[in-house]
Amino acid sequence: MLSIENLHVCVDGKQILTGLDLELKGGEVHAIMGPNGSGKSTLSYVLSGREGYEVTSGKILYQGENLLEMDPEERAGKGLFLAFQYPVEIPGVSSMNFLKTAANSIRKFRGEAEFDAMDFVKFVREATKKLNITDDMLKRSVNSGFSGGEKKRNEVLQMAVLEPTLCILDETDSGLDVDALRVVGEGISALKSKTRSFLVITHYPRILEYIVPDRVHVLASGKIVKTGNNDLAHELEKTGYSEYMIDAA
Amino acid sequence: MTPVDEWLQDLKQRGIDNFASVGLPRVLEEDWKYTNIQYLNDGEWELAGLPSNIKSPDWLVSGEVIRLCFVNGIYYPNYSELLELPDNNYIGPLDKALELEEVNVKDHLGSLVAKHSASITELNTANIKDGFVIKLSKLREPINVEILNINEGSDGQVFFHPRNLIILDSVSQVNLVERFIGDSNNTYFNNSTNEVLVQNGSNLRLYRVLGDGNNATTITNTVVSVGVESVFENLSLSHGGRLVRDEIVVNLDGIGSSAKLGGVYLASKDQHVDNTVLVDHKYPNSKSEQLFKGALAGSATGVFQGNIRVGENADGANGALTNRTVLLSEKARMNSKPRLEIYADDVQCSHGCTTGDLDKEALFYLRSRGIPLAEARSILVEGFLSEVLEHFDQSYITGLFKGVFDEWVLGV
Amino acid sequence: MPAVDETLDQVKSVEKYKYGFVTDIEAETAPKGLSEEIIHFISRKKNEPKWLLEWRLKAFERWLDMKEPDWAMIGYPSIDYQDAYYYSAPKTSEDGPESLEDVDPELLATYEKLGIPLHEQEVLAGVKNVAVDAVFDSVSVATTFKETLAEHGVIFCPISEAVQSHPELVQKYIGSVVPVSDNYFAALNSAVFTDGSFVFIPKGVRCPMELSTYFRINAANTGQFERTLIIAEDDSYVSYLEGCTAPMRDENQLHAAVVELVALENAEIKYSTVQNWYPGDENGVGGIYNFVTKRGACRGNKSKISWTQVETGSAITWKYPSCILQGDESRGEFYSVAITNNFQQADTGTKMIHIGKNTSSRIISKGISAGKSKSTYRGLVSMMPKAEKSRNYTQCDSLLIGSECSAHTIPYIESRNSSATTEHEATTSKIADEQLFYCRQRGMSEEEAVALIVNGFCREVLQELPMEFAVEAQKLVGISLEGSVG
Repeated sequence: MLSIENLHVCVDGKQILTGLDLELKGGEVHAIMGPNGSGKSTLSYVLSGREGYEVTSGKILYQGENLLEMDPEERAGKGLFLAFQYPVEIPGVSSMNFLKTAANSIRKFRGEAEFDAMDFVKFVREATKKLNITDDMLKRSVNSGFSGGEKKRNEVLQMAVLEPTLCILDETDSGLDVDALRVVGEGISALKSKTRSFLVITHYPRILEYIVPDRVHVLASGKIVKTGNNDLAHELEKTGYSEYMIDAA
Repeated sequence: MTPVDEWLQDLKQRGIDNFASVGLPRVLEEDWKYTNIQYLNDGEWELAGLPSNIKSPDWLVSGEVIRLCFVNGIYYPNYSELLELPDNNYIGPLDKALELEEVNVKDHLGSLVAKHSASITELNTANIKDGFVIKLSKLREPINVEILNINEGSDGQVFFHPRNLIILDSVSQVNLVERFIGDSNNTYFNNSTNEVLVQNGSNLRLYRVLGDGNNATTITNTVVSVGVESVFENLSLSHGGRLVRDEIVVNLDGIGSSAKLGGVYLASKDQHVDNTVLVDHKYPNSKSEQLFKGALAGSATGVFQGNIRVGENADGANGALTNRTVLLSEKARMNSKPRLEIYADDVQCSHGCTTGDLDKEALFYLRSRGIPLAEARSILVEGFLSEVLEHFDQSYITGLFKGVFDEWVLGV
Repeated sequence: MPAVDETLDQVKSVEKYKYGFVTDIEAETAPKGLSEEIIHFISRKKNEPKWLLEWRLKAFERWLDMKEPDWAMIGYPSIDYQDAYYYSAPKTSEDGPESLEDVDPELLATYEKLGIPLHEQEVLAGVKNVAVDAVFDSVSVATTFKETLAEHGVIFCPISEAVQSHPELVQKYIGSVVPVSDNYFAALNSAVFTDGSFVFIPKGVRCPMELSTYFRINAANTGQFERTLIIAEDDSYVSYLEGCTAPMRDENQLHAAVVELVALENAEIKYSTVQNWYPGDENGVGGIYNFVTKRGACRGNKSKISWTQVETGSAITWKYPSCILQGDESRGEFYSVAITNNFQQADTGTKMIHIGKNTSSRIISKGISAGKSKSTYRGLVSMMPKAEKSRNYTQCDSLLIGSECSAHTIPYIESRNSSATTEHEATTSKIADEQLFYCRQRGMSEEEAVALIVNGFCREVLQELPMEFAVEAQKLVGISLEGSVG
């Protein structure tokens, strides 16, 4: 599914990732954990193709193809989905309209027929019920005036509707209280399947209660410094990252 | 004649010729749409001389400070206090600066205003006589300067045309307070022009109080060029004169240059007060802020023209402009013309503008607590205006403002 | 260039402006140039009463003394007013069609191609009926639902017909909102106007359907000078929409219209425009000069006039739909989207003149500049001495797409009444990179993302359009920006 080899990335001339390797197979869940400033968000933006992230060496293969040559929308069309740490506000564009435009763009890309309006509403209703998303939220402008929890639920809704094959969750649990975390976590959990992979980027292990990782990687100073199973996450909860920060330095 | 005298003679002659060809601005010109000064064409004007009685100055800034006093636009050494400065630095009157080769006035005087030629500055150039010059370089310590203009006028119509030059280079810093005060009812015309160059990490803070006499016409033009990583700040408090036009043109001429402009205007009776500002962002990552607030009473007229221009190379420019006016009487009126002119795409610019009466609910709230109407109004107006001062933390300005405001409120 | 490529390119450019075709129809055209004789000719063609001819001649006399305005932020080569035709009409309609059956099939086909229903049984967008007046060059060629409207006492007909059938109404109101010498282009229009719509809603009537005029410039080298007059008597309501298109031509053509609205006591007029005149090609060649004077008078107490405009076409747009708020508690609204791309220039905005007590106005303007275009908002809010407790709120936002365009905001705010409040806010910025990236991460192409974000930016204005046209306008927003990114 995803293969990252010796990835080096610069932002504004500053080296952020310094030789990252990662191998993620279809249906697997991997967690990437690490302290602030270790390069977690940089990784998610490089994978999704945001401008301003310069790959100085290394390569990324996604489903056997060179990911770095693709535009952001091409990656999305091929099933790569990023749940943003800070979802972006788009004034005046209703969430429903946004969802439909996105879903149809991806269907077009895949050579599938576009949704007709009625079918789409039905399709979305299914997903919204589970995520406790009201019709009112769908009418409001994308993320505008949404609370932290609403924004993250909206990200999960988009994930459900766009049916990706690789989901990258960037700090999806940040800023959520316990109740909001449960709704979001259960929403994500419901999307697990044999063919869908997850890359869960997080500082705290609490989201991993809902989506149990097959592998846990510790990212520090731009590279993976330790890999283990789910126990590693619990260990980190107790010890924190100080050990790795010293090691990496 | 010395070469400098000849040069000055030429400069003045050009001013005379240029002014003669256009005359005073008319309301048909977009920049003068709301301010009519054609009445200045009535009668003859003579250059002012010194009045017989000159009252002693009350200085505002204490501590180590350079003081220059001008009376009717004429340098008055008796009341001035100059300080020794390191070599190649100068703060003092224009005539002495002209004699000093190292100050090199002739390379700068007239060059900044030439790019923004206006008939009113040509008139100033035609009549250059006195003024002050500040030229500093590599002085890291901030220097405090206070300029006091005691404007009395005299019998008959007199005018004067102060011409000032400020050049700050290589991380120099100046805090400059300039005041126009006039207590007479004489008819006079104070037309001052400032040319300001702030460059290479320098910083100029300019505080100006325009308080000319009841029958005075005050027109000031300040043309500024702000260079790389330099800062220009200006706070004007305008309360005197029959007609005041305070015009500032700021060119953000370097990467990372910035300007912060504030203004408070108070007018009553049939006063006319005009603040006109252009900030021209010419380089990337330049920043500007404008905040102008005023209170108009009687049948006073206020004018605000504020323009933010962003040139095509000025990506990353950030400009904001706010103008708010309260109208305290039925006959007061306000004309506001905020403007954005944007030729680059990577910009963040905004303006906001309001006119209206005081907040009714706030007024009611204060009265319900037992505060009489007049006092409640005065509290609210002062609170409304003080937002501008809070942007510029200089204690002496706040104190001065309080004094001016209290006196103004009594007269309303 | 190989022939195949050429054809492909042609097809591509036609798609961008799908209204760019020419109807091949025999036209009767007045001799070229502008003179008293031409005005006599037009007046004679229309069989006008003497007072109207004199009114025209007076306007012409004033026009000769006037100067073309130069204060707008637009630039164009000087117009040779003698090098254009001032009257062109399809020959078949010389005597005016008696009924829809008499309309030349070629014209019916033209309007069908433009998506304008001239058959009464057709229903636009499936929502409700819309009555249409179709103006082709200098004359109205068809007006639908006249009888249905007449049952309600509503008069909806070409203004040249109203001059014949209701001369007293025309004479009373024409020039009463926009005086003949108001400005250069209004004076020109008053002298040579040819056709346009006339609407009269009698007291107490709520017009049962949307009224719409569709303006089409077809003939080459012809100016279109339409004149529209809408009168809403006490307690009446009407919603009116105009649409405009023209063939793609390398020459610029002048369109100088005058629209006058009069709202009496408690009446409401909602006037919407989707202006899609040919904008010229991507090199700035050709396109319509759209120099228009639109003004409404809220004469009665509690009357309301609302202007909504979506301006995507024309090489140059110069227009300021305005409201004179004379009646106490009257209200004016101006909602505008102006999109310029390639070499288009737009200088547009509004004037809200508050005269009566407790009047209110609201201005929402959204300007989008792309390519090498220039877009300017210019507006005046004036609180006159007697406009006690009147209020204005203005919001002007500009969006820049690409580094070669420009956007300007030039408001004038004049307050002469202390109890009146004005509030004005404006912003200028580009589309945020993170918004674009967010949309693209969700699978949208850059063009789709821009169209979506711009539509969101314009939403407050688009939602003011009658529903039948809102969808069309949204599509137009996307189409107008094609080629502006990437």
